[in-house]
Amino acid sequence: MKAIKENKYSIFLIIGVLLLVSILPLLVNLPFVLHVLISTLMYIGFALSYDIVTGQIGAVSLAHASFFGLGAYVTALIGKAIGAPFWLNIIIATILSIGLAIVMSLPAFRLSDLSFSFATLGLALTVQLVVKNWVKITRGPMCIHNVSNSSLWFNGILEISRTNLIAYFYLFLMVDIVIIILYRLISTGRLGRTLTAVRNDEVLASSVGINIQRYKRLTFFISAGIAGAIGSLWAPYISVVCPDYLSMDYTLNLLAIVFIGGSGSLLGVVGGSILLTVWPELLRVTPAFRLIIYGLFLLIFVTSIPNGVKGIISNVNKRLKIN
Amino acid sequence: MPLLKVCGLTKKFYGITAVNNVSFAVNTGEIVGLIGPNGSGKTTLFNCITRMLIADQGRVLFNGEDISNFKPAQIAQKGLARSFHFIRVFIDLTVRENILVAAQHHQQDNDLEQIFRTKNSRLLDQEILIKADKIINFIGLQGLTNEKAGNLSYGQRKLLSFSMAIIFHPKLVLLDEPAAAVNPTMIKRIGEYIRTLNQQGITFIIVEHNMEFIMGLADRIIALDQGSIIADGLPRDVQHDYRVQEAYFGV
Ligand SMILES: Nc1ncnc2c1ncn2[C@@H]1O[C@H](COP(=O)(O)OP(=O)(O)O)[C@@H](O)[C@H]1O
Ligand SMILES: [Mg+2]
Repeated sequence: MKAIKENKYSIFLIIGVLLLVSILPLLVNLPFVLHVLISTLMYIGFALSYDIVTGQIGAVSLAHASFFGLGAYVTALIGKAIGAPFWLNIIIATILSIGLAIVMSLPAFRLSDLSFSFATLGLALTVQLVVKNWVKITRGPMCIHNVSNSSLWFNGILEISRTNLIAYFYLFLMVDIVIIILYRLISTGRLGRTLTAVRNDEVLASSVGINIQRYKRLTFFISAGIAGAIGSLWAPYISVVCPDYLSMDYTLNLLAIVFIGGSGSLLGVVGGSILLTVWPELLRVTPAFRLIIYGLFLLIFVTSIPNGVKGIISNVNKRLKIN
Repeated sequence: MPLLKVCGLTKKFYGITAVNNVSFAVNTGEIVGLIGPNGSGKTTLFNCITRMLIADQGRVLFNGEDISNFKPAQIAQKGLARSFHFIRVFIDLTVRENILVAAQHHQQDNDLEQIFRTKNSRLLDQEILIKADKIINFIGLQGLTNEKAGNLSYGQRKLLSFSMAIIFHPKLVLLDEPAAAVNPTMIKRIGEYIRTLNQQGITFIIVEHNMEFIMGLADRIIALDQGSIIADGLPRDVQHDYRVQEAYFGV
Protein backbone atom coordinates (compact mmCIF):
# COMPACT_ATOMS: atom_id res chain seq x y z
CA MET A 1 0.00 0.00 0.00
CA LYS A 2 1.71 3.14 -1.15
CA ALA A 3 0.94 6.36 0.65
CA ILE A 4 1.57 9.61 -1.10
CA LYS A 5 2.96 12.59 0.70
CA GLU A 6 0.21 14.86 1.80
CA ASN A 7 0.22 18.58 2.02
CA LYS A 8 0.75 19.78 5.57
CA TYR A 9 -2.10 22.20 5.21
CA SER A 10 -4.68 19.75 3.87
CA ILE A 11 -6.60 19.90 7.15
CA PHE A 12 -7.07 23.65 6.78
CA LEU A 13 -8.08 23.14 3.17
CA ILE A 14 -10.72 20.62 4.14
CA ILE A 15 -12.09 22.56 7.08
CA GLY A 16 -12.16 25.66 4.87
CA VAL A 17 -14.12 23.79 2.21
CA LEU A 18 -16.49 22.46 4.87
CA LEU A 19 -17.08 25.99 6.12
CA LEU A 20 -17.85 27.04 2.56
CA VAL A 21 -20.19 24.08 2.26
CA SER A 22 -21.82 25.20 5.48
CA ILE A 23 -23.48 28.13 3.74
CA LEU A 24 -24.90 25.85 1.02
CA PRO A 25 -28.15 25.03 2.87
CA LEU A 26 -28.86 28.73 3.11
CA LEU A 27 -28.60 29.01 -0.69
CA VAL A 28 -30.32 25.83 -1.85
CA ASN A 29 -32.95 24.74 0.59
CA LEU A 30 -34.14 21.68 -1.33
CA PRO A 31 -34.77 18.51 0.72
CA PHE A 32 -33.15 16.29 -1.88
CA VAL A 33 -29.98 18.38 -2.02
CA LEU A 34 -29.82 18.55 1.76
CA HIS A 35 -30.27 14.80 2.04
CA VAL A 36 -27.37 14.22 -0.35
CA LEU A 37 -25.23 16.64 1.64
CA ILE A 38 -26.10 14.99 4.96
CA SER A 39 -25.40 11.51 3.55
CA THR A 40 -22.07 12.73 2.27
CA LEU A 41 -21.15 14.20 5.64
CA MET A 42 -22.16 10.96 7.34
CA TYR A 43 -19.95 8.95 4.99
CA ILE A 44 -17.01 11.31 5.46
CA GLY A 45 -16.99 10.69 9.22
CA PHE A 46 -17.72 6.99 8.82
CA ALA A 47 -14.99 6.49 6.21
CA LEU A 48 -12.42 8.47 8.20
CA SER A 49 -13.10 6.29 11.22
CA TYR A 50 -12.61 3.22 9.02
CA ASP A 51 -9.38 4.57 7.59
CA ILE A 52 -7.82 4.91 11.05
CA VAL A 53 -7.57 1.16 11.27
CA THR A 54 -7.54 0.12 7.61
CA GLY A 55 -5.49 2.90 6.05
CA GLN A 56 -3.25 4.05 8.86
CA ILE A 57 -2.14 0.81 10.46
CA GLY A 58 -3.09 -1.36 7.49
CA ALA A 59 -5.32 -3.91 9.22
CA VAL A 60 -8.25 -4.39 6.83
CA SER A 61 -11.21 -4.89 9.15
CA LEU A 62 -14.46 -6.15 7.66
CA ALA A 63 -16.46 -5.57 10.85
CA HIS A 64 -16.83 -1.82 10.69
CA ALA A 65 -20.57 -1.84 9.94
CA SER A 66 -21.15 -3.74 13.19
CA PHE A 67 -20.16 -0.69 15.22
CA PHE A 68 -22.22 1.68 13.09
CA GLY A 69 -25.21 -0.65 13.42
CA LEU A 70 -24.70 -1.08 17.15
CA GLY A 71 -24.64 2.69 17.62
CA ALA A 72 -27.84 3.04 15.60
CA TYR A 73 -29.68 0.27 17.50
CA VAL A 74 -28.55 1.48 20.90
CA THR A 75 -29.81 4.96 20.11
CA ALA A 76 -33.14 3.70 18.76
CA LEU A 77 -33.66 1.58 21.89
CA ILE A 78 -32.70 4.35 24.28
CA GLY A 79 -35.13 6.59 22.42
CA LYS A 80 -37.96 4.10 23.01
CA ALA A 81 -37.09 3.71 26.69
CA ILE A 82 -36.19 7.22 27.79
CA GLY A 83 -35.69 10.36 25.77
CA ALA A 84 -31.98 10.95 26.15
CA PRO A 85 -30.22 13.93 24.57
CA PHE A 86 -28.20 13.19 21.43
CA TRP A 87 -24.84 13.72 23.09
CA LEU A 88 -25.62 11.16 25.80
CA ASN A 89 -26.71 8.71 23.08
CA ILE A 90 -23.39 9.30 21.34
CA ILE A 91 -21.44 8.66 24.53
CA ILE A 92 -23.32 5.43 25.27
CA ALA A 93 -23.06 4.25 21.65
CA THR A 94 -19.33 5.00 21.60
CA ILE A 95 -18.67 3.11 24.82
CA LEU A 96 -20.70 0.08 23.77
CA SER A 97 -19.04 0.02 20.33
CA ILE A 98 -15.62 0.05 21.94
CA GLY A 99 -16.85 -2.76 24.20
CA LEU A 100 -17.88 -4.80 21.15
CA ALA A 101 -14.52 -4.03 19.53
CA ILE A 102 -12.71 -5.29 22.63
CA VAL A 103 -14.68 -8.53 22.53
CA MET A 104 -13.98 -8.95 18.81
CA SER A 105 -10.30 -8.17 19.23
CA LEU A 106 -9.80 -11.14 21.55
CA PRO A 107 -9.91 -13.73 18.77
CA ALA A 108 -9.25 -11.47 15.77
CA PHE A 109 -5.95 -9.93 16.84
CA ARG A 110 -4.27 -13.25 17.34
CA LEU A 111 -4.25 -13.36 13.55
CA SER A 112 -2.61 -11.15 11.00
CA ASP A 113 -3.32 -9.86 7.51
CA LEU A 114 -5.79 -11.91 5.55
CA SER A 115 -6.82 -14.15 8.43
CA PHE A 116 -7.55 -11.04 10.47
CA SER A 117 -9.86 -9.76 7.73
CA PHE A 118 -11.68 -13.09 7.52
CA ALA A 119 -12.01 -13.28 11.29
CA THR A 120 -13.58 -9.82 11.42
CA LEU A 121 -15.90 -10.84 8.57
CA GLY A 122 -17.04 -13.89 10.53
CA LEU A 123 -17.57 -11.83 13.66
CA ALA A 124 -19.52 -9.17 11.77
CA LEU A 125 -21.84 -11.79 10.26
CA THR A 126 -22.35 -13.31 13.70
CA VAL A 127 -23.27 -9.96 15.23
CA GLN A 128 -25.70 -9.27 12.39
CA LEU A 129 -27.27 -12.70 12.88
CA VAL A 130 -27.79 -12.01 16.57
CA VAL A 131 -29.45 -8.68 15.81
CA LYS A 132 -31.67 -10.28 13.16
CA ASN A 133 -32.80 -13.05 15.48
CA TRP A 134 -33.07 -11.31 18.82
CA VAL A 135 -36.58 -10.25 17.84
CA LYS A 136 -37.72 -9.48 21.37
CA ILE A 137 -35.34 -6.56 21.62
CA THR A 138 -34.47 -5.56 18.07
CA ARG A 139 -37.75 -6.59 16.35
CA GLY A 140 -35.44 -8.46 13.97
CA PRO A 141 -36.19 -8.06 10.27
CA MET A 142 -39.23 -5.91 11.09
CA CYS A 143 -36.85 -3.08 12.01
CA ILE A 144 -37.35 -0.37 14.59
CA HIS A 145 -39.46 2.40 13.11
CA ASN A 146 -40.08 5.95 14.23
CA VAL A 147 -36.84 6.39 16.11
CA SER A 148 -37.18 9.37 18.45
CA ASN A 149 -35.88 12.65 17.16
CA SER A 150 -32.55 13.92 18.41
CA SER A 151 -32.88 16.41 21.22
CA LEU A 152 -30.48 18.64 23.05
CA TRP A 153 -31.85 17.70 26.48
CA PHE A 154 -33.81 14.95 28.27
CA ASN A 155 -37.50 14.18 27.61
CA GLY A 156 -37.43 15.65 24.14
CA ILE A 157 -36.63 19.14 25.33
CA LEU A 158 -35.16 21.14 22.44
CA GLU A 159 -35.97 18.42 19.96
CA ILE A 160 -34.55 18.49 16.44
CA SER A 161 -37.30 17.26 14.16
CA ARG A 162 -36.05 15.14 11.28
CA THR A 163 -37.91 17.39 8.93
CA ASN A 164 -35.46 20.07 10.02
CA LEU A 165 -32.79 19.00 7.56
CA ILE A 166 -30.74 22.14 8.04
CA ALA A 167 -30.25 21.36 11.73
CA TYR A 168 -29.12 17.81 10.94
CA PHE A 169 -26.81 19.16 8.30
CA TYR A 170 -25.05 21.36 10.86
CA LEU A 171 -25.01 18.58 13.44
CA PHE A 172 -23.19 16.24 11.05
CA LEU A 173 -20.92 19.04 9.93
CA MET A 174 -19.84 19.71 13.51
CA VAL A 175 -19.26 16.06 14.23
CA ASP A 176 -17.24 15.73 11.01
CA ILE A 177 -14.99 18.59 12.01
CA VAL A 178 -14.32 16.91 15.35
CA ILE A 179 -13.57 13.61 13.58
CA ILE A 180 -11.28 15.31 11.05
CA ILE A 181 -9.27 16.93 13.84
CA LEU A 182 -9.08 13.63 15.72
CA TYR A 183 -8.04 11.80 12.55
CA ARG A 184 -5.32 14.35 12.01
CA LEU A 185 -4.04 14.10 15.58
CA ILE A 186 -3.86 10.32 15.31
CA SER A 187 -2.33 10.09 11.84
CA THR A 188 0.47 12.60 12.38
CA GLY A 189 3.10 13.10 15.05
CA ARG A 190 4.58 10.26 17.01
CA LEU A 191 1.50 8.07 16.97
CA GLY A 192 1.08 8.57 13.22
CA ARG A 193 4.68 7.52 12.62
CA THR A 194 4.17 4.41 14.71
CA LEU A 195 1.08 3.44 12.71
CA THR A 196 2.86 3.94 9.37
CA ALA A 197 5.79 1.90 10.65
CA VAL A 198 3.53 -1.01 11.56
CA ARG A 199 1.79 -0.80 8.19
CA ASN A 200 5.10 -0.76 6.30
CA ASP A 201 6.96 -3.54 8.09
CA GLU A 202 5.82 -5.38 11.21
CA VAL A 203 9.09 -7.24 11.67
CA LEU A 204 11.20 -4.09 11.58
CA ALA A 205 8.64 -2.30 13.76
CA SER A 206 8.92 -4.94 16.46
CA SER A 207 12.70 -4.83 16.24
CA VAL A 208 12.67 -1.16 17.27
CA GLY A 209 10.42 -1.88 20.22
CA ILE A 210 6.95 -1.23 18.80
CA ASN A 211 4.29 -3.40 20.40
CA ILE A 212 2.34 -4.12 17.22
CA GLN A 213 -0.64 -5.76 18.86
CA ARG A 214 -1.11 -2.83 21.17
CA TYR A 215 -1.31 -0.28 18.36
CA LYS A 216 -3.58 -2.46 16.26
CA ARG A 217 -5.95 -2.74 19.17
CA LEU A 218 -5.75 0.98 19.92
CA THR A 219 -6.69 1.99 16.36
CA PHE A 220 -9.37 -0.70 16.17
CA PHE A 221 -11.01 0.58 19.36
CA ILE A 222 -10.84 4.25 18.38
CA SER A 223 -12.27 3.58 14.93
CA ALA A 224 -15.04 1.42 16.41
CA GLY A 225 -15.96 4.14 18.89
CA ILE A 226 -16.27 6.77 16.17
CA ALA A 227 -18.35 4.46 13.97
CA GLY A 228 -20.71 3.88 16.90
CA ALA A 229 -21.08 7.63 17.35
CA ILE A 230 -21.90 8.08 13.65
CA GLY A 231 -24.51 5.31 13.84
CA SER A 232 -26.03 7.02 16.86
CA LEU A 233 -26.43 10.27 14.92
CA TRP A 234 -27.73 8.54 11.81
CA ALA A 235 -30.58 6.56 13.43
CA PRO A 236 -32.80 9.53 14.42
CA TYR A 237 -32.16 11.23 11.10
CA ILE A 238 -33.14 8.24 8.97
CA SER A 239 -35.82 7.25 11.56
CA VAL A 240 -35.68 3.51 10.93
CA VAL A 241 -33.05 1.02 12.08
CA CYS A 242 -32.75 -2.38 10.40
CA PRO A 243 -30.35 -5.34 10.59
CA ASP A 244 -29.06 -4.18 7.20
CA TYR A 245 -27.13 -1.50 9.02
CA LEU A 246 -24.74 -4.15 10.22
CA SER A 247 -24.39 -5.76 6.81
CA MET A 248 -21.35 -6.08 4.60
CA ASP A 249 -22.89 -3.56 2.19
CA TYR A 250 -21.82 -0.72 4.43
CA THR A 251 -18.35 -2.13 4.95
CA LEU A 252 -17.94 -2.67 1.20
CA ASN A 253 -18.97 0.93 0.57
CA LEU A 254 -16.27 2.01 3.00
CA LEU A 255 -13.68 -0.19 1.35
CA ALA A 256 -14.56 1.36 -2.01
CA ILE A 257 -14.38 4.88 -0.58
CA VAL A 258 -11.08 4.33 1.17
CA PHE A 259 -9.33 2.54 -1.67
CA ILE A 260 -10.73 4.63 -4.49
CA GLY A 261 -10.12 7.84 -2.57
CA GLY A 262 -6.74 6.81 -1.24
CA SER A 263 -6.17 4.98 2.01
CA GLY A 264 -4.24 6.68 4.77
CA SER A 265 -4.89 10.14 3.40
CA LEU A 266 -7.29 12.72 4.80
CA LEU A 267 -7.91 14.39 1.44
CA GLY A 268 -8.21 11.04 -0.29
CA VAL A 269 -10.79 9.64 2.11
CA VAL A 270 -12.84 12.85 2.12
CA GLY A 271 -12.64 13.01 -1.69
CA GLY A 272 -13.63 9.35 -1.98
CA SER A 273 -16.61 9.87 0.31
CA ILE A 274 -17.86 12.78 -1.75
CA LEU A 275 -17.35 10.93 -5.01
CA LEU A 276 -19.02 7.71 -3.94
CA THR A 277 -21.95 9.25 -2.07
CA VAL A 278 -22.97 12.11 -4.34
CA TRP A 279 -22.85 10.06 -7.53
CA PRO A 280 -25.12 7.17 -6.54
CA GLU A 281 -27.56 9.58 -4.90
CA LEU A 282 -27.77 11.69 -8.05
CA LEU A 283 -28.29 8.56 -10.10
CA ARG A 284 -31.46 7.84 -8.12
CA VAL A 285 -33.15 10.10 -10.68
CA THR A 286 -32.74 7.28 -13.20
CA PRO A 287 -33.42 4.23 -11.03
CA ALA A 288 -33.36 1.82 -13.93
CA PHE A 289 -29.81 2.62 -14.94
CA ARG A 290 -28.50 3.53 -11.51
CA LEU A 291 -26.50 0.44 -10.70
CA ILE A 292 -25.23 0.01 -14.23
CA ILE A 293 -23.94 3.57 -14.44
CA TYR A 294 -22.47 3.36 -10.93
CA GLY A 295 -20.72 0.10 -11.76
CA LEU A 296 -19.31 1.46 -15.00
CA PHE A 297 -18.16 4.58 -13.25
CA LEU A 298 -16.30 2.55 -10.61
CA LEU A 299 -14.71 0.39 -13.28
CA ILE A 300 -13.51 3.33 -15.34
CA PHE A 301 -12.27 5.16 -12.28
CA VAL A 302 -10.31 2.25 -10.86
CA THR A 303 -8.70 1.35 -14.19
CA SER A 304 -7.82 4.84 -15.32
CA ILE A 305 -6.76 6.42 -12.02
CA PRO A 306 -4.91 3.77 -10.04
CA ASN A 307 -3.87 6.03 -7.18
CA GLY A 308 -7.35 7.39 -6.63
CA VAL A 309 -8.30 10.88 -5.56
CA LYS A 310 -5.12 10.99 -3.49
CA GLY A 311 -3.10 10.39 -6.66
CA ILE A 312 -4.83 13.22 -8.51
CA ILE A 313 -4.20 15.57 -5.59
CA SER A 314 -0.53 14.68 -5.35
CA ASN A 315 -0.13 15.15 -9.10
CA VAL A 316 -1.65 18.60 -8.83
CA ASN A 317 0.66 19.30 -5.91
CA LYS A 318 3.65 18.24 -7.96
CA ARG A 319 2.64 20.49 -10.84
CA LEU A 320 2.16 23.43 -8.54
CA LYS A 321 5.44 22.57 -6.83
CA ILE A 322 3.95 22.89 -3.39
CA ASN A 323 4.05 19.90 -1.06
CA MET B 1 28.32 -11.30 34.48
CA PRO B 2 28.35 -11.41 30.68
CA LEU B 3 26.02 -9.05 28.80
CA LEU B 4 24.71 -11.84 26.57
CA LYS B 5 24.73 -15.52 27.37
CA VAL B 6 23.49 -18.05 24.83
CA CYS B 7 23.04 -21.59 26.20
CA GLY B 8 22.50 -24.60 23.96
CA LEU B 9 20.45 -22.80 21.31
CA THR B 10 19.07 -25.14 18.65
CA LYS B 11 16.81 -24.43 15.69
CA LYS B 12 15.69 -26.96 13.13
CA PHE B 13 13.87 -26.35 9.84
CA TYR B 14 12.24 -29.58 8.77
CA GLY B 15 15.28 -31.85 8.35
CA ILE B 16 17.95 -29.14 8.51
CA THR B 17 19.54 -28.16 11.81
CA ALA B 18 20.25 -24.49 11.11
CA VAL B 19 21.57 -23.77 14.61
CA ASN B 20 23.00 -26.70 16.52
CA ASN B 21 23.46 -26.49 20.29
CA VAL B 22 25.21 -23.11 20.19
CA SER B 23 26.59 -21.66 23.43
CA PHE B 24 28.69 -18.55 23.92
CA ALA B 25 28.89 -15.43 26.05
CA VAL B 26 29.67 -11.83 25.16
CA ASN B 27 30.97 -9.27 27.64
CA THR B 28 30.12 -5.59 27.75
CA GLY B 29 32.38 -3.55 25.50
CA GLU B 30 33.32 -6.33 23.11
CA ILE B 31 33.06 -6.31 19.33
CA VAL B 32 32.48 -9.90 18.32
CA GLY B 33 32.65 -11.00 14.70
CA LEU B 34 30.43 -13.90 13.67
CA ILE B 35 31.68 -15.63 10.54
CA GLY B 36 30.85 -18.76 8.60
CA PRO B 37 30.04 -19.83 5.06
CA ASN B 38 26.60 -19.13 3.55
CA GLY B 39 23.93 -21.24 5.18
CA SER B 40 25.94 -21.87 8.33
CA GLY B 41 23.17 -20.44 10.52
CA LYS B 42 24.35 -16.90 11.36
CA THR B 43 21.11 -15.14 10.46
CA THR B 44 19.03 -17.86 12.10
CA LEU B 45 21.09 -17.45 15.28
CA PHE B 46 20.34 -13.70 15.30
CA ASN B 47 16.66 -14.43 14.69
CA CYS B 48 16.55 -16.84 17.62
CA ILE B 49 18.32 -14.44 20.00
CA THR B 50 15.86 -11.63 19.16
CA ARG B 51 12.91 -14.08 19.12
CA MET B 52 11.96 -13.29 15.55
CA LEU B 53 12.20 -17.07 15.36
CA ILE B 54 11.40 -19.36 18.27
CA ALA B 55 14.26 -21.73 19.06
CA ASP B 56 13.54 -25.41 19.58
CA GLN B 57 15.90 -25.59 22.52
CA GLY B 58 18.17 -23.41 24.60
CA ARG B 59 18.04 -20.21 26.57
CA VAL B 60 19.21 -16.64 26.07
CA LEU B 61 20.20 -14.44 29.00
CA PHE B 62 20.56 -10.73 28.44
CA ASN B 63 22.01 -8.66 31.23
CA GLY B 64 21.37 -11.59 33.56
CA GLU B 65 17.69 -11.81 32.62
CA ASP B 66 16.21 -14.79 30.83
CA ILE B 67 14.69 -13.34 27.63
CA SER B 68 13.88 -16.71 26.05
CA ASN B 69 10.15 -16.10 26.37
CA PHE B 70 10.06 -12.39 25.58
CA LYS B 71 8.44 -10.84 22.51
CA PRO B 72 10.75 -9.14 19.96
CA ALA B 73 9.49 -5.67 20.96
CA GLN B 74 10.20 -6.36 24.64
CA ILE B 75 13.70 -7.51 23.81
CA ALA B 76 14.32 -4.31 21.87
CA GLN B 77 13.08 -2.30 24.84
CA LYS B 78 15.56 -4.08 27.10
CA GLY B 79 18.31 -2.60 24.92
CA LEU B 80 19.05 -5.32 22.38
CA ALA B 81 18.97 -3.90 18.85
CA ARG B 82 19.53 -5.50 15.47
CA SER B 83 19.76 -4.87 11.77
CA PHE B 84 18.58 -7.25 9.08
CA HIS B 85 20.37 -9.29 6.44
CA PHE B 86 17.81 -8.09 3.87
CA ILE B 87 17.75 -4.39 4.63
CA ARG B 88 14.46 -3.11 5.99
CA VAL B 89 13.34 0.51 6.30
CA PHE B 90 9.90 2.10 6.63
CA ILE B 91 9.36 3.16 3.02
CA ASP B 92 6.52 5.63 3.63
CA LEU B 93 8.44 7.53 6.30
CA THR B 94 11.19 10.05 5.62
CA VAL B 95 14.78 9.46 6.69
CA ARG B 96 14.25 11.56 9.79
CA GLU B 97 10.92 9.91 10.61
CA ASN B 98 12.50 6.47 10.33
CA ILE B 99 15.05 7.41 12.96
CA LEU B 100 12.45 9.10 15.15
CA VAL B 101 10.14 6.10 15.09
CA ALA B 102 13.04 3.83 16.02
CA ALA B 103 13.83 6.01 19.04
CA GLN B 104 10.39 6.92 20.29
CA HIS B 105 9.37 3.61 21.78
CA HIS B 106 11.91 4.04 24.49
CA GLN B 107 10.16 7.10 25.85
CA GLN B 108 7.78 7.21 28.73
CA ASP B 109 4.57 8.92 27.73
CA ASN B 110 1.24 7.33 26.91
CA ASP B 111 -0.83 7.35 23.73
CA LEU B 112 -3.31 9.92 24.98
CA GLU B 113 -0.50 12.35 25.75
CA GLN B 114 0.78 11.77 22.23
CA ILE B 115 -2.62 12.21 20.56
CA PHE B 116 -3.35 15.45 22.39
CA ARG B 117 0.23 16.75 22.22
CA THR B 118 0.65 17.51 25.92
CA LYS B 119 3.54 19.68 27.01
CA ASN B 120 5.47 16.70 28.31
CA SER B 121 4.94 14.89 25.02
CA ARG B 122 6.10 17.90 22.99
CA LEU B 123 9.25 18.18 25.08
CA LEU B 124 10.04 14.55 24.38
CA ASP B 125 9.40 15.18 20.67
CA GLN B 126 11.95 17.97 20.75
CA GLU B 127 14.44 15.77 22.55
CA ILE B 128 14.42 12.94 20.01
CA LEU B 129 14.35 15.35 17.11
CA ILE B 130 17.68 16.79 18.18
CA LYS B 131 19.11 13.31 18.64
CA ALA B 132 17.85 12.19 15.24
CA ASP B 133 19.31 15.18 13.40
CA LYS B 134 22.63 14.62 15.10
CA ILE B 135 22.79 11.07 13.89
CA ILE B 136 21.70 12.06 10.37
CA ASN B 137 24.63 14.45 10.22
CA PHE B 138 26.97 11.84 11.57
CA ILE B 139 26.11 9.29 8.87
CA GLY B 140 26.11 12.00 6.21
CA LEU B 141 22.49 11.78 5.11
CA GLN B 142 21.68 15.41 5.99
CA GLY B 143 20.84 16.20 2.34
CA LEU B 144 18.13 13.55 2.44
CA THR B 145 16.53 14.29 5.82
CA ASN B 146 13.05 14.75 4.36
CA GLU B 147 13.34 12.18 1.58
CA LYS B 148 11.09 9.12 1.76
CA ALA B 149 13.16 6.08 2.71
CA GLY B 150 11.55 4.26 -0.20
CA ASN B 151 13.51 6.55 -2.55
CA LEU B 152 16.94 5.85 -1.07
CA SER B 153 19.68 3.82 -2.71
CA TYR B 154 20.72 0.50 -1.22
CA GLY B 155 23.78 1.95 0.50
CA GLN B 156 21.77 4.83 1.92
CA ARG B 157 19.16 2.41 3.25
CA LYS B 158 21.91 0.45 4.87
CA LEU B 159 23.22 3.52 6.67
CA LEU B 160 19.70 4.42 7.68
CA SER B 161 18.85 0.98 9.05
CA PHE B 162 22.13 1.03 10.91
CA SER B 163 21.22 4.39 12.50
CA MET B 164 17.82 3.03 13.45
CA ALA B 165 19.45 0.15 15.28
CA ILE B 166 21.65 2.38 17.41
CA ILE B 167 19.49 5.51 17.95
CA PHE B 168 17.86 4.24 21.12
CA HIS B 169 21.18 3.70 22.88
CA PRO B 170 21.03 -0.08 23.01
CA LYS B 171 23.42 -2.05 25.16
CA LEU B 172 23.99 -4.65 22.48
CA VAL B 173 23.65 -4.42 18.70
CA LEU B 174 23.47 -7.38 16.33
CA LEU B 175 24.47 -6.37 12.79
CA ASP B 176 23.83 -8.75 9.90
CA GLU B 177 26.33 -8.08 7.10
CA PRO B 178 26.61 -4.29 7.43
CA ALA B 179 29.35 -4.08 4.79
CA ALA B 180 27.90 -6.38 2.13
CA ALA B 181 27.22 -4.68 -1.23
CA VAL B 182 28.40 -1.35 0.12
CA ASN B 183 31.12 0.71 -1.57
CA PRO B 184 34.57 0.94 0.07
CA THR B 185 34.15 4.55 1.30
CA MET B 186 30.88 3.66 2.94
CA ILE B 187 32.41 0.53 4.48
CA LYS B 188 35.13 2.64 6.01
CA ARG B 189 32.57 5.03 7.39
CA ILE B 190 30.51 2.25 8.93
CA GLY B 191 33.66 0.81 10.51
CA GLU B 192 34.62 4.12 12.06
CA TYR B 193 31.12 4.60 13.29
CA ILE B 194 31.03 1.21 14.99
CA ARG B 195 34.34 1.96 16.70
CA THR B 196 33.12 5.33 17.99
CA LEU B 197 29.97 3.79 19.39
CA ASN B 198 31.94 0.96 20.94
CA GLN B 199 34.09 3.49 22.74
CA GLN B 200 30.86 4.95 24.10
CA GLY B 201 30.12 1.54 25.64
CA ILE B 202 27.93 -0.18 23.04
CA THR B 203 28.65 -3.88 22.51
CA PHE B 204 28.45 -5.41 19.01
CA ILE B 205 28.04 -8.79 17.42
CA ILE B 206 28.65 -8.47 13.69
CA VAL B 207 28.03 -11.01 10.95
CA GLU B 208 30.30 -10.25 8.01
CA HIS B 209 31.85 -11.95 5.00
CA ASN B 210 34.28 -9.13 4.30
CA MET B 211 37.29 -10.59 6.14
CA GLU B 212 39.45 -7.49 5.99
CA PHE B 213 36.64 -5.44 7.52
CA ILE B 214 35.69 -7.84 10.29
CA MET B 215 39.20 -8.96 11.23
CA GLY B 216 40.25 -5.33 11.60
CA LEU B 217 37.23 -4.41 13.68
CA ALA B 218 36.53 -7.35 15.98
CA ASP B 219 38.22 -8.14 19.30
CA ARG B 220 37.11 -11.70 18.96
CA ILE B 221 35.76 -14.00 16.25
CA ILE B 222 33.23 -16.82 16.52
CA ALA B 223 33.11 -19.15 13.50
CA LEU B 224 30.03 -21.21 12.63
CA ASP B 225 29.79 -24.15 10.29
CA GLN B 226 26.59 -26.07 9.65
CA GLY B 227 25.02 -24.58 12.71
CA SER B 228 27.80 -25.38 15.18
CA ILE B 229 30.58 -23.24 16.61
CA ILE B 230 33.90 -24.48 15.21
CA ALA B 231 36.19 -21.75 16.56
CA ASP B 232 36.05 -18.94 19.10
CA GLY B 233 39.05 -16.72 19.77
CA LEU B 234 41.28 -13.88 18.65
CA PRO B 235 40.84 -12.87 14.99
CA ARG B 236 44.37 -13.96 14.04
CA ASP B 237 43.97 -17.39 15.61
CA VAL B 238 40.54 -18.09 14.20
CA GLN B 239 41.59 -17.01 10.72
CA HIS B 240 44.37 -19.58 10.72
CA ASP B 241 42.35 -22.31 12.41
CA TYR B 242 42.38 -25.32 10.10
CA ARG B 243 38.67 -26.06 10.70
CA VAL B 244 37.77 -22.56 9.59
CA GLN B 245 40.00 -22.88 6.54
CA GLU B 246 38.32 -26.17 5.77
CA ALA B 247 34.82 -24.78 6.18
CA TYR B 248 35.55 -21.84 3.90
CA PHE B 249 37.84 -23.33 1.30
CA GLY B 250 37.34 -27.04 1.73
CA VAL B 251 41.07 -27.65 2.22
N1 LIG C 1 12.77 -19.78 7.30
C1 LIG C 1 13.49 -20.84 6.92
N2 LIG C 1 12.88 -21.98 6.51
C2 LIG C 1 13.61 -23.06 6.15
N3 LIG C 1 14.96 -23.11 6.17
C3 LIG C 1 15.62 -22.01 6.57
C4 LIG C 1 14.94 -20.81 6.96
N4 LIG C 1 15.86 -19.86 7.31
C5 LIG C 1 17.06 -20.45 7.13
N5 LIG C 1 16.93 -21.73 6.68
C6 LIG C 1 18.03 -22.68 6.43
O1 LIG C 1 18.84 -22.67 7.59
C7 LIG C 1 20.21 -22.71 7.24
C8 LIG C 1 20.94 -21.50 7.82
O2 LIG C 1 20.51 -20.32 7.15
P1 LIG C 1 20.98 -18.87 7.59
O3 LIG C 1 20.79 -18.74 9.04
O4 LIG C 1 20.28 -17.89 6.73
O5 LIG C 1 22.52 -18.91 7.24
P2 LIG C 1 23.56 -17.71 7.09
O6 LIG C 1 22.95 -16.46 7.59
O7 LIG C 1 24.73 -18.15 7.88
O8 LIG C 1 23.89 -17.65 5.63
C9 LIG C 1 20.26 -22.75 5.72
O9 LIG C 1 20.40 -24.11 5.33
C10 LIG C 1 18.93 -22.22 5.31
O10 LIG C 1 18.53 -22.76 4.07
MG1 LIG D 1 22.63 -14.60 6.61
